[in-house]
Amino acid sequence: MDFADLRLVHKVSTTVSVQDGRVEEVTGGEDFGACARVLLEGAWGFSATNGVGFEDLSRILDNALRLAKSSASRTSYSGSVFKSERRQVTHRPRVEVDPREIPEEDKIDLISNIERELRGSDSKIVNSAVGYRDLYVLENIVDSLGSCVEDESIRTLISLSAVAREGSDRQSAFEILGETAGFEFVRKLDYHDVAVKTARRASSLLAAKDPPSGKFQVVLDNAVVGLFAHEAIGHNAEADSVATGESIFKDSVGSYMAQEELSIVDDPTIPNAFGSYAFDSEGIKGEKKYVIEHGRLVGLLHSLESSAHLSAKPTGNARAMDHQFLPIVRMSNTYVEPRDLSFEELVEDVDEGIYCKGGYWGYVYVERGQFTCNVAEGYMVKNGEISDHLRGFSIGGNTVEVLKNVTGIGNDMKLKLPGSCGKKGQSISVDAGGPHVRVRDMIVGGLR
Amino acid sequence: MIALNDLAKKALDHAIKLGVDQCDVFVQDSSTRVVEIERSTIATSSVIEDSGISVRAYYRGGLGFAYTMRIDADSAAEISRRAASLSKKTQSDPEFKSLPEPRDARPVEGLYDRELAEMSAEGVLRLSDDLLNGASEVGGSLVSGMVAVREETRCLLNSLGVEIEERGTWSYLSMMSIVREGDLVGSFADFDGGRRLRDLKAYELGRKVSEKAREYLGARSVKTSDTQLILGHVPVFWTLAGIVGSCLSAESVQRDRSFLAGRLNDRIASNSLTITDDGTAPSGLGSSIWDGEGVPRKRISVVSQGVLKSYLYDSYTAGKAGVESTGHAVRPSYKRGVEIAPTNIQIALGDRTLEEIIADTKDGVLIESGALAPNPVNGEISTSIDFGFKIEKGEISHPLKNAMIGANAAGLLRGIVAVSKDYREEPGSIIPAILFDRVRISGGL
Repeated sequence: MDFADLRLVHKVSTTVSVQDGRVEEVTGGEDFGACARVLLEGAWGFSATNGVGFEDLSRILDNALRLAKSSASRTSYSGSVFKSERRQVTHRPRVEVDPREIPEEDKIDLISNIERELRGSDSKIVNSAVGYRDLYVLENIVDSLGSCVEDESIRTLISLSAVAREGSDRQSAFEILGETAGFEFVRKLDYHDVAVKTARRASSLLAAKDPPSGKFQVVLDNAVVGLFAHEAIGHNAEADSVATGESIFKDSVGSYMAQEELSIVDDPTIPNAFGSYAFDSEGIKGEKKYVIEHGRLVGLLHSLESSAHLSAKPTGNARAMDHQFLPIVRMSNTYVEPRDLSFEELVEDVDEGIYCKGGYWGYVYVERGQFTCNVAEGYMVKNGEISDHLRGFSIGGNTVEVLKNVTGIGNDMKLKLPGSCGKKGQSISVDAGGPHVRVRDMIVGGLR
Repeated sequence: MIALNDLAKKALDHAIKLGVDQCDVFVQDSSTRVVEIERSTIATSSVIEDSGISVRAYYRGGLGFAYTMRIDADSAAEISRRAASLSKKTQSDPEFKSLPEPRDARPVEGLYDRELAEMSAEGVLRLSDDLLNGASEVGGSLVSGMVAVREETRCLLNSLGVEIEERGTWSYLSMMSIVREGDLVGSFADFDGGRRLRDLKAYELGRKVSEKAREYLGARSVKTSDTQLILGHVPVFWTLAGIVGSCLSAESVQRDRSFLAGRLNDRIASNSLTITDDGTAPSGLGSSIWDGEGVPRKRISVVSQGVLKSYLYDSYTAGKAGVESTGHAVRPSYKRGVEIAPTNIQIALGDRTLEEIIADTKDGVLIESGALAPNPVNGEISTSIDFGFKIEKGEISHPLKNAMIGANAAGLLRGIVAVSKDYREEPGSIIPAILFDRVRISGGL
């Protein structure tokens, strides 16, 4: 056997759903189980069960060994792991108010208040929903290198969704706010402001125009630039897809790919950010690292396996959704570093373009760097002035080409995308953002 | 392990004693064997055992839900207590009528296959070998993917006397193939699914995906223009199943967050579109005897010659609308409550083949993978064409690069020009290709 680890996971969550003025559903859940991973002669075996007794652990280790053996005899896969130093660490989160100690009634009251604000903020709102979730996770990792890591985390998240209608025309707006923090996060929130803005955004889109189509100079806001950093750059920099030869970055580390001002970072150490964590699911400490630094591709995000394969240091980016999944390379908080242009300066040089504001989803095909980012709403920019309001659309392009088309980087850094990223069936908490960024020749998938 | 049915009964009895109005208990026990393929070879072989129990408790219509992965009597009692307690913290809901009463249902053939259920890890590796052998026959491609085989037993009991147990098997194969020639990159991805081993065609999938990847070498940009659109079989499946699931779910409709709300018996598509959803299709991927609340599955007409005939209901939304549940409650996992989703989509066929439709298209775009997923609230569609070809003068011209599509689902459905007579059959579903009237394509030129 070349390597083995055992991971025990305990998750406790509470959710509250308030919709159209009524507390509809309150749920409580507990996940509890373990998984074993064995690397033998270059092949992996993995086994998981919902139990953590000695017999459970022995059985899944035996299973994983047996599975690795049967694979090893018929594969040319040459898996290996970075021989990291032995780690013996316990990490406890510093939260002010552990949500597990808050009565459900308090959570219900608070979420009901937010929903009331959302519903009452605009007369055109026909559907309003606010969701709440807190999640406690305890992960214990032991491995054959002698490591023993215990990591606890707490996340709290609320989501707001509003639908506005006028005749048969409907528009929607969505907002997610989340932190790696306790219940103090929602208590401190200026939810009145968030609720009013979300409701009015849905309502104002009723009067907005259909988006145009074609190539445009665009100014991306903090959320859309986060989507771009995450989808177009971050996923391509995940070293598992570089090690397999799939990513467009497979031969590009060390190359200049963008203008000198552009730097893109993945950093799980930002206090309270939704994608932050102390240790990854291999027990490696999370660290800030540059993917692109002053225009040059300088680093990738690594697991123990990808770092061994590519002769690099692990970066603490191997994350697993729960004990039923293998740790794979994932991002944390991914952002573009701010520079010195104000929003006004970015817009004033645009003759005809689009200001892209807010975004909910995106995806990328890493073998081509073909990315798509959703945009919640837009504004036409004409002769340096913000003009017509536009309904939602998507932007897309090729990572390598678009990186060269960045023409200005703003000074107003914000993380704006707390939420989930999906990869290989696993949903992981991440955040993303950056300052406003101007890009030329972006493709806009509009209707006219 | 304690018998699942006994455990469910204990949890149900406990919840009833706690004074809830109605409740149901769901127990799920599954084993999934997975082989992951990377770098054109087998990378990981896994076995995942998963079992859990959940309780939905209703008090004056408010819902409390709790689940646990601990399969023992004490834990079952604890989640009953938790769900009952949470239900009393919600607000009363006069729209909640009732959970379903027990009803007999006819058996559905082909949902459990002993060959799949008893397939060893070695057997799953052999399926993976078949996939890889198919790919290597074409050669020159970098292959990744997975083969998953799952066996599951689920029990559902409710306080009105529903008491059902169903076993099922599933297998899912997915594969991506990447071909590089100099600076050119071609790629393609596809899948195969089945409830029985004999429904799977691993070798054919491996070969087909690698052949297709090669066709995508040399992608080029196009000018922004209005052009005809042909969705191939897979995009039709994901697009229409998505519209039926997210826009025709009675939950979306009753909440006024679907662009198809209030359109029952209206014309929503051209005459060419007829969609049936059949939850009883033999060996169907989405088939079962009962839905996630114990309502017998059925076959329903969703759209008939362009006219919207039915929304998809679970027991709550059916009670609210004063109609019978259509049996579309699903429970993907004991960790979640009930959702509304289609089962097996069957689309009525037209009279021209896809090849003939392409030959008749002077200027168009063919999309072979991916979905046009609308915002269900307003039907707006804006997304990239990730696997598409330009069609010029009746012939496939070249693969597309940097192309996006902007459309509205309402207009798209009304603009269906033709449905192909050839189709792809995933177990239970019948999926032709569809030709749409002009849509906006944004290009990189």
